[in-house]
Amino acid sequence: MYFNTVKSKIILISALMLVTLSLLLSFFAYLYLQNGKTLLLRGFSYHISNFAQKINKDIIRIEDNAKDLALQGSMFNKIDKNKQMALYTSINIFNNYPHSLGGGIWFEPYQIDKTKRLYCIYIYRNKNNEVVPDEAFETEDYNYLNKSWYKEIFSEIKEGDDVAWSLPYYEKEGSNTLMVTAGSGIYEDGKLVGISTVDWEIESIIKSVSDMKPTPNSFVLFGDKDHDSIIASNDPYIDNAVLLGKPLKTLSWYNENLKNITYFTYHGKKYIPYVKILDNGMILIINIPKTELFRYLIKHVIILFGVFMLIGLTISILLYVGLKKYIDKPIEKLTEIAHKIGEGDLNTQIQIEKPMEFAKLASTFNNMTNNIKNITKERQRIESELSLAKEIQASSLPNVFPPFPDKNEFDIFAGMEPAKEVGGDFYDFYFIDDENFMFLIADVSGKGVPAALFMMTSKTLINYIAQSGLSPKEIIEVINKRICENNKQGFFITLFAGIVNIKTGKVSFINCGHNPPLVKRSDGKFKYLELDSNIVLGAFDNAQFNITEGHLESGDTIFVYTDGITEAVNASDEQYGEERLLNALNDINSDNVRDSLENIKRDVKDFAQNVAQSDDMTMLMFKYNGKYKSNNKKVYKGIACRENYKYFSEWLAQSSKNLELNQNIVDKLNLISEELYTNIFSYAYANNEGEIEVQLIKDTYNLTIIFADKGIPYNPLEKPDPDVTMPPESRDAGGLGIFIVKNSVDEISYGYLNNTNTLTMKITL
Amino acid sequence: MEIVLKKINDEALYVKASGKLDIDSSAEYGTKIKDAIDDVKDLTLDFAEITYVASIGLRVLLELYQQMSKQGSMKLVNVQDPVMNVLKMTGFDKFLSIS
Repeated sequence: MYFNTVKSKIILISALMLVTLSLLLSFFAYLYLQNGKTLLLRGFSYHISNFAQKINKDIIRIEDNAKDLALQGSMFNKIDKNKQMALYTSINIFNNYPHSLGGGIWFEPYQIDKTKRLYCIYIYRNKNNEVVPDEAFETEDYNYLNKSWYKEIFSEIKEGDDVAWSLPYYEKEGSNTLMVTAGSGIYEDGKLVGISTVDWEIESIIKSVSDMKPTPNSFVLFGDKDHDSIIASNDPYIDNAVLLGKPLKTLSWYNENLKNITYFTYHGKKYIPYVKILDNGMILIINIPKTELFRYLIKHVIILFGVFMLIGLTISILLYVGLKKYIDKPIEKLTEIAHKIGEGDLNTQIQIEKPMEFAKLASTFNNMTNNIKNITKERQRIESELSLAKEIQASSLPNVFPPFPDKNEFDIFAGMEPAKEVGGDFYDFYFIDDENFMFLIADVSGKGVPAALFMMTSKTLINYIAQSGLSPKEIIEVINKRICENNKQGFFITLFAGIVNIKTGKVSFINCGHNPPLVKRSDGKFKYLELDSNIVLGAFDNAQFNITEGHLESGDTIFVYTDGITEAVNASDEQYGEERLLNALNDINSDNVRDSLENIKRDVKDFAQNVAQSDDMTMLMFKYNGKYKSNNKKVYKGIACRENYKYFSEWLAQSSKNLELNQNIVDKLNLISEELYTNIFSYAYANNEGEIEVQLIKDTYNLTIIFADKGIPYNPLEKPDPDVTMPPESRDAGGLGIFIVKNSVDEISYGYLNNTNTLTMKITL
Repeated sequence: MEIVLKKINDEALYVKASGKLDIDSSAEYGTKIKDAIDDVKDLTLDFAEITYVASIGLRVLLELYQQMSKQGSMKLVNVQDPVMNVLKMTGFDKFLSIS
């Protein structure tokens, strides 16, 4: 899980970057090292070659010098034997060769002068760098003929301008430095009669060779390969002086060096040799310890590698920090805000300025939040309008019960439980003339605002037409026509209506495609009443409607409902159904219409449990009580004031007697009348005088008590009940009056109409 | 309303009234008793002939009870059913001593 996060990817990328950079830099460092080695070796080689070349140049000069001197010697021998002239010329020649230390022309015994065995011309360079003659070498004491260099050169020269080299030697009589001498031959008739020599002081060369220490522990060999002799060596394992003149193979590593090897091992150390053979057969070997040669290079490479690694690491860290800052952080921020928005906080705005993509995303996010905010606001507005519409719709249905408290012949109660959306259910009832009372329940097809609007129009239309004095059949046909006329949207209405003559009990039922009503008759059980069903309203404008006529007896009850009741579903998707409805109605242990409907409502809700109501649930119950009996009704009209109370009291006592009320009812009636009368003159008229009308209506089942006044509008039922469990110390006796009234009657309702407060109560007899 | 106050001894008062404790008579009933109970520690109200008690009557009973509970006790005797119903309904039976 963690490896799928952006953070882990960033770490991965950074790590990969680090590894890649490390590998790359290591490779570069390796290349650098290899290249460095090559360059270094080449550099040394070049350096040493240069050095060898320089020596070679000296050698060639000295050889040339020897040849020039030999030519001079030949001319001296052949032509004039003028020694002064020869000296002068020789000095001139020497001036051309500034590196030559000294030299001369030497003849075989008696060659120039038959009286002189030894004959030579010698010149040398003095301390002031002047070339001057030295005659000391012509003596028998010196006897150059016996000198090794003379013998060696003389024996080695074969012809022409051959140049021969002597072995290195010290000469006590001469410069007393280590020297070698190059010589060339002087001929007479093809026979060697003398030699020229040029001395080369090689101590300075040895010194510069020895000084040539490219590294502290490197060592050199300078030898004469032709004569197989060591001239100089600073091999640290052998004393320098011992080596002079010894054969070259004295140095164990010498042979190894001639094999063109890259390195050899000597006393456990690896050395790289550089071998140069000079033009006069001399050999120069420089040995450099391998570790020393590359030490600085390796050190250099290690430092370089470290720096590279540091750069790599820095880049990786910068990459990580950068990615984290520019990708991970914005994502984290966005996530946090999205979470907040998800929780409903729409006021949160994201502030991301960099990088651009996230800034764009953030601003998109902010726009989205704003849009949601606006949409939410708009939705809230629509919702509040819809809820207002629902309220208006609900309040358009008659909702004051009992609606006709002075009409004793019937009881009616109805209610609509709207679904979440506004719907098309409605009920209505009214007198269409003095005696005929019409009640109806209807359901407009469809839901929502259109259905609700159609319902409102239809309700008004039906009311208007019903009161136009037509017969029931005509009424319904006109209604249908009018609904058809205005029905462009194809709505239709199912409707059940009953028109009851409350004096005679004659009833007309019309069912236009609505659920069958339930009727309870003298046998005391509700049954579905199957009527001739008609087509729904709004389908055909010339439809014919069948009216069912009948007669209601006292106690007959009609229950009508919309499909919201029977089609209510529970969690198992079962419908409440007609069977359950029938049983529920028959289980109700009350004749009271309000109680009955409350029971049904509760039963449906218990059935559906938590399943949301999908349709309006509308019910209406009409109970026919019987014919109006005038002597069952007593009316008191008077002025409410303290003084008049006793007259009211007397009327109450007389009426109770006339209505043949039993003592229990009389006690209750007295109690509530006292409280209500007192309230009216104390509060409704604020201790002033005012009209009061009290009605007592007795029917088979109930005593209805109606108190009406024209005082301040006041609904006593809204007043909260006093707490009767309070201890007496903290109790006050206020509010007990209406509490006693509410608890003494079986039914109580309040209405305010035509400036009149009407409180209607029923006591079951 | 006929109200009879009878002093049993220095500290005990017996009151018997007939009729209704309603808006007409409650005030009279209350005033008469209040005037007589300054030193009384034992107040007995006979309700044998009280036919009903309205809320205003309850108020008087509560006032009497609140005063008497400070200086002694108060009891109701011979309470008739309709009155008892009201006393129960309003929770007065919870604190009034009734026999």
